[in-house]
Amino acid sequence: MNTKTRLSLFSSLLLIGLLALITTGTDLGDEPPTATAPNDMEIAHIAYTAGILDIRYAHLALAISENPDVQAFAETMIRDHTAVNEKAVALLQQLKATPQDNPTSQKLIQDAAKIRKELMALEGATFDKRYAANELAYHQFVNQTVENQFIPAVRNPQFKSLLASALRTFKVHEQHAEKLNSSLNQGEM
Amino acid sequence: MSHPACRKCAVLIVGALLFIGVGGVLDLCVQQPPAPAAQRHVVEMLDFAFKPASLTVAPGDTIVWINRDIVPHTATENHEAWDSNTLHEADSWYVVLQEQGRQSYYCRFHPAMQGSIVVSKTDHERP
Repeated sequence: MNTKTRLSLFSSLLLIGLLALITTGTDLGDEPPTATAPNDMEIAHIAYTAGILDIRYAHLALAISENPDVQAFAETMIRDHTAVNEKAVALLQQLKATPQDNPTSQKLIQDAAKIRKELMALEGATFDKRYAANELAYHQFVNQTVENQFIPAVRNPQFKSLLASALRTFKVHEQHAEKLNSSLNQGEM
Repeated sequence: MSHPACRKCAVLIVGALLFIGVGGVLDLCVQQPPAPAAQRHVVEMLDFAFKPASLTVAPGDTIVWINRDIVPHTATENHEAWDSNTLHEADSWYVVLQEQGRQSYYCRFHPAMQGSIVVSKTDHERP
């Protein structure tokens, strides 16, 4: 992961972490959440947005990469994130709830736009390695956030359960991305 | 008119033959064990694993895969002798295996998901 990506992901993580701390009140003397704190629907928006952004990276990979392993990985990202997001939409409809846009979602979208621009300038093995590295970093970042910030903060039990299922999926993606990176960087040291 | 002794003798012979015949048929039924009924085995795709991951079956048994995860999976023989194709959440698919031996399979979408089926020679090899 290059320095630019690290800083970008770090700033997103910091923002999400701060928002989640406000939500739970854990480090604020267990005070009740404030009126401005992100709620379940804002967290739902962030999680849904993160899925959509990974699907967009995958479409880019299918358009640019000629590596069958990279293409297979990208297809799996599209398939799995679409399934998870469809499940989330179904739950939101059942709860008659609407995800709420928030600064964290906007930050994720802005950061992803920069990374997509960078990826679009690459091709061949250089693209493959950069895409795989970003996928690993992205899933590590999302998994840490979902596990340590979102799941403890969410109040609706059905949404909490869905996030737990989604986390199991994303952890498999992280392992898959690790293998893809190893295979693409094999022989380089 | 035949002699009564001869008639009695004939009845005894016919009776004996019938007894032997019925007995023979019964004997055959006892000696030939009934063909074992084909069984149905269920493999769940759950938490990105096949459960159970290994299975021993008899020729002619049915193996059913059910996807319990929220993302799609496949059950694909390593050399693509059989393939469930995409199974979405709650979808199921089955195969009947006749050929003896071990068959390994995996999920095409999540290659770390792997399983195997041993088609055993005889019924007593079932676990």
